Amino acid sequence: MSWLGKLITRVVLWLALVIVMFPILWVLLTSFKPAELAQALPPIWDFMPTLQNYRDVLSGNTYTSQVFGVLLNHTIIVTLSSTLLGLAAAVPAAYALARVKFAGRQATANWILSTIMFPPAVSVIPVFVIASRLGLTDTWPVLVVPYAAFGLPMMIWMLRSAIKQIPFEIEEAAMVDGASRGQIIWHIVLPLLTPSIVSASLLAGMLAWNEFLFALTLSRSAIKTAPVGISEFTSMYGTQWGTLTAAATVTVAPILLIALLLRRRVIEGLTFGAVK
Amino acid sequence: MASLGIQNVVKSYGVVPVVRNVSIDVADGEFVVLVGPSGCGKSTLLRMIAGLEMLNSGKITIGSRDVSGLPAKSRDIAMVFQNYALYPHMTVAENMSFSLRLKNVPQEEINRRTERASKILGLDKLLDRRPGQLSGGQRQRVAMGRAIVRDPQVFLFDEPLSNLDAKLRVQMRTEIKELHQRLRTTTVYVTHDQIEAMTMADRIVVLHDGIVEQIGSPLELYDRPANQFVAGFIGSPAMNFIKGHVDASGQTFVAETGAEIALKDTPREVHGRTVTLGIRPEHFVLDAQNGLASQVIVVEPTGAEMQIICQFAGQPVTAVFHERLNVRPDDVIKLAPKPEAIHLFDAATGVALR
Repeated sequence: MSWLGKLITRVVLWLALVIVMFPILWVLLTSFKPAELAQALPPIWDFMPTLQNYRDVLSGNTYTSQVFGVLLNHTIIVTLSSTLLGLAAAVPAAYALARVKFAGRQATANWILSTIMFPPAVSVIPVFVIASRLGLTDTWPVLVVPYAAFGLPMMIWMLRSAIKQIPFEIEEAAMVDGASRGQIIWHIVLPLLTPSIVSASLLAGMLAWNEFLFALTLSRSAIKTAPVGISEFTSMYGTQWGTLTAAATVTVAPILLIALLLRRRVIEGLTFGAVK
Repeated sequence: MASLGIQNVVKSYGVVPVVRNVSIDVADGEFVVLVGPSGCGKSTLLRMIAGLEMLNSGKITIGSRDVSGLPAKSRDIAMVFQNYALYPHMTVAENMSFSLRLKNVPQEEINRRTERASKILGLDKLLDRRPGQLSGGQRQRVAMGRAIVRDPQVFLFDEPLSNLDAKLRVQMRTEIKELHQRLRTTTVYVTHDQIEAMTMADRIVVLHDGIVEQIGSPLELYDRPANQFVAGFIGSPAMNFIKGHVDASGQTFVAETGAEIALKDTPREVHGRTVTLGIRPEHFVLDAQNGLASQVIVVEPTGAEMQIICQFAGQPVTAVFHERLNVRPDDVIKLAPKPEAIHLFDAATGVALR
């Protein structure tokens, strides 16, 4: 590539980066601004950074119904439980679809894949009705189960293709060594599947972590999650931009950190078997 | 250790028969090699012994136990796979001790057995490595170590040397044989390489299209092949075959081209019959008086011997000489088969006539 080509590539990439990063940067900047400068137009660039917004958000000194830290805890609980529940269902399902011969195996796998195209929003009302009839509104299962279900098809497909990449002879060697099917899954398949489990969990976890519509519709206070909490910084009396952006930053930070820490594993998992 | 019995075993995939009514008895401590071209059913047979494939009918016994219906994990056999099939996430020591840990064998016992196996195989310095950090030969040894620590009733080997380079293959061949002489565990070894079969086996089973062509010691198979298939499969370079008939007196073989070859002590039943004559490359002699004039096509010196491919009785044959002959392509040599080393086979069925 000529130097001109390289230059153009760089410029285009930087431009794309700036466009993508701008809203995040804007949120970050605003979160450090004193409350009175947050909405100033044109925006003020030279200001004394302050942590006041963060202090307010974490101490609950905001015009919202609940302390934000509690909502963050809810999000963590919902995310972890739904991801674990999803994994518990996805690993055996993926193993069966990859290794156990049964009639309609491919059709089942394809059907599961097709459900990725199903828009979750369509099911909000039915789930709401079911939850109300069962008296489950504002309880953990009402978010955990649907979140696990939304992540499930993607998890099953990622894990299934990862399992297919494990040479079957390794499992046969374990059979000859005296291992039962359960022992093979536990001692052989799961350890070899770790990168894929990490990346599938991270993707499913992100779905649950950011989910808004179900959380808004099905939770009141006992299980209200952070995304819903952030929306509450906008009220009939106006939007508290400073604390809102601080809350948003606090919400994004952990998942960003985890993704950064695990990025090599995630890429390993996503490209599993692409290069032999 | 135990004997192994295979009785009337049949296996087919759908309508395609793979193993047809095979019966083999392997004595306690014996080293039996299943050999045959690819697709002959040898690997399938081995996998049925291991319990990785189920039989359609027949019976497999280990010792006095009928294991036909048992899953692999309950058969107390150990298997070495073609691509080693080591557990990539475990160290060498963990790979070898996996089966013992599954059985909850006490730790001291595990250590003792792993140590012993690793000493036998020269792996004692590699115990903390993972398979990815090992060479092909080392991986092969780990796979064998995994089998040894088990102290199983039967060892099964599925073409274990085919992924190694030529030199290492010869070395490992010797090691496996030495190992067997030391442990005396009943062993079934599958290969498509007849030299491996010849050098390692107590007895060889030649399989072809899912049936047993012949069972016997290496030299039995070499000297007295039961049929043309075994004759052609065992021995390298392969036996030469020439079509023709035996004259009424039984003294002479007449090739289709009319060339005549002297015979010795032929049984009455072959007199006047259409047959295929078989002669091994090393059983040709140069005979200026009685030899057939044969034009040399290619000369292949290997150092230890000379392989000469020439036109003999109307077709190309290979002859091997241990002395250094001064011949070149297009030379004409007088070639004669040793009459006592000639094999005759029925032209239609391929069955040996003796």
